[in-house]
Amino acid sequence: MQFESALSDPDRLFLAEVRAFIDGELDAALIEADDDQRAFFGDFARSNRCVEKLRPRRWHVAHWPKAYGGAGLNALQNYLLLYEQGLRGAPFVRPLGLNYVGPTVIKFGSEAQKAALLPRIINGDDHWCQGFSETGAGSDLANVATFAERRGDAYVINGAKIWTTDAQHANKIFCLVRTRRENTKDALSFVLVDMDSPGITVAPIRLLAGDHELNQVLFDDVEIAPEQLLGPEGDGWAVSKYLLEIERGAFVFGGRLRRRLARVITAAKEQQASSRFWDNVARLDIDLMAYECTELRLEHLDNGRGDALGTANMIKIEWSEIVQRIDELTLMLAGPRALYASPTPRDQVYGANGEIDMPGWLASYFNNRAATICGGSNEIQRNLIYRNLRRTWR
Amino acid sequence: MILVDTPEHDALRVHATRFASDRYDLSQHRERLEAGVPVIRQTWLEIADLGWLGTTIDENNGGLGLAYSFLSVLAEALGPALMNEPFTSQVAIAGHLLNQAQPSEPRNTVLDRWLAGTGFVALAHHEGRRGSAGSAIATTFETTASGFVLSGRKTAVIDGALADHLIVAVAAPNDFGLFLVATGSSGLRIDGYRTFDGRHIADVEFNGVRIRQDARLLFALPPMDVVDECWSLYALLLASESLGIVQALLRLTHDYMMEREQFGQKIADFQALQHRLVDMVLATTRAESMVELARYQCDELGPAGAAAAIAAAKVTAGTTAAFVGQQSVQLHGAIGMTDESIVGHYLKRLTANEILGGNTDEQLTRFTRLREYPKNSENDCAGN
Repeated sequence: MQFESALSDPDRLFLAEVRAFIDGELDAALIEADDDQRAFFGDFARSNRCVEKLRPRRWHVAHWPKAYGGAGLNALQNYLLLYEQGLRGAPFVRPLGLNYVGPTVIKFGSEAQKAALLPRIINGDDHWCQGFSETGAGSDLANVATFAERRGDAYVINGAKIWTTDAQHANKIFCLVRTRRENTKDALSFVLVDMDSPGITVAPIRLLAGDHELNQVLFDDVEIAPEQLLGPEGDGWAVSKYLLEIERGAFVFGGRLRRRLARVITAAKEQQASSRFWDNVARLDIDLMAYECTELRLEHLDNGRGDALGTANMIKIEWSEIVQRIDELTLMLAGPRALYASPTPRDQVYGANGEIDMPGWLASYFNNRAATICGGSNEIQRNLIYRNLRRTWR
Repeated sequence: MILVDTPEHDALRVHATRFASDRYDLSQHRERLEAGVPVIRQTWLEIADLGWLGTTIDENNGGLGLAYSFLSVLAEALGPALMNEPFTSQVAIAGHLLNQAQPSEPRNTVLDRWLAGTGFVALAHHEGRRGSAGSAIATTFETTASGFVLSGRKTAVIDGALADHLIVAVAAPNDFGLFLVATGSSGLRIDGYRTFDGRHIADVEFNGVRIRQDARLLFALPPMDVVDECWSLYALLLASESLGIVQALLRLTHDYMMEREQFGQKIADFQALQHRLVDMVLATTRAESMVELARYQCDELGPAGAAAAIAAAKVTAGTTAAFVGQQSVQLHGAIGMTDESIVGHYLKRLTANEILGGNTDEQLTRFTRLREYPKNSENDCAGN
């Protein structure tokens, strides 16, 4: 990696430890193969097997405070750990419990909630999914309509969430819901719901490359107890905002992107790609170098020059656009071969059960169109950066 | 430490920023250009007195022996001043060559005067119509009893018109050398030009120029490797200077958008323009990252070891500079097109920085070669 020459001795030793761990304990079956790169959230079982290997060192919660079971790594070590995993093809660790709910419960949870929920996240007993978006509330998340009505000792939830990743796997869901009909600041609340509660239905959504990653989650008179609110009633927006912003330090995409570009380069050499193609590779290589550096210095080292303008927002825009460009190069290299990447049977678009069967490298191109949409669209990210800029340069 | 400015870097940045703002403003810049003043000798002497010329010169050569990143920080901080004094080219090229050359009477004399700010030195390397890095060296030298005779023609010699001495790259059968030549030498003809942003280049003709034996500079490394290091260093400093300028342009453009009103509101209230400004911020952040990466890798590995990172930094800075420079004019509207506005002057300086030291096309070629990407032009599709 390009920063290796500048590492201090202790950090270089740590990097060696990470590499030894990956080489020694992540068996070949775990390491990403071709088809696994079709989307960032890969195979559920494989992702969890990887977490099992990280768990003894608490490297799956490396960024959590030590008092809550975190590994106590410093910012640079956390970066090296995540970078190398991505570079070597370790499965993408699902963030919903480990990176989103966990730290949010640490911040807003009662002692009882922390005691009940955090160990189950660390141990892998609970798998979470995110109930935020609705058909009427995407970029405008505050416009949620799913309503949790106070009835006596309980809240009763009615509504529908959409684009819910992993709802088909998860046993728990966190939701932003409306607890007051008026459109006031205190109208929203944050709730934690068991997926096996009576009244919950999960409906799969098939995307354009055939993958079932996303779902609708329907709530029909779903009852929860007041203890299932996270933070006070009416505080939902603040809790959600925190959750969406705490991704800092939890992700490193540089290694993963570098691995994907390396595969394009290998293929391009095998296929003797044109000089024009190599020019595109060179430009992307350079932009990826810049991204790796930005990700490290602003998000993980926090040189103090960064966050005023909205580091997490900038980084989201950059990695999502780079991953799309990598997929474009892969597609360009494939040429007419991509037309023959057909489902079974080969003379149909849909298979017997309505399935679409695209190979991973082609699916990736289509699936990663979501990268600039999900997690706050890149247009919204630009709005947020502008707002920060105004505040800083006032 | 990775990618972190030390307190010394920060102090130098602050000092250089104040030095520049105390001495430079746009109206004086335009007055000097209109009056045809080449450089302000007094300012150059002040820069020399501060020790900045000797930043990376070895201590036993009379310099400060500091890391290359300090030069990069200086270039960045001085960028917005639109200096016509040739700081970046002199320290990256003349300074590095003289420092790396082995001691000799001529070299020591020239280096001492250069460090004192009383002499400029220019590298005469490129040839051909385009004066670019790719052209072969046809300027030749003949060995005589007392020394050498130089014949040939160099183009786009940076600082050529200012120089008291040239360092000339010359070829002979199975030989290659760098020679120190006084610009007053008989047979040497210099045609000086001002670039559109106020800097100095020249075409130089050598018609049987006689020089002494000790005019040949000797190096521990092959001379062309040292020359290559100079070009890498120069590219790094140009990228650094452009970074300083785009940072200033961002701020200027934002401030203008907050002032300018049309359709009953500040133009900064239009979302399309907000997003444009944010895209300029993103581009600037990329350039910051690459310049930081390149400057610290240059410290770690030297200009040769950091060559790929430096080429990448110049590509990034060039791409960012084009976008931010162009869009700064765009967002200023017609005002940005006038000679009176500093925006246009910044665009001209950024554009010259893109061309000098190898443009993006050349840097990409260099990067591709250093990364060992194949050159398979025979597989290029027959396009329409």
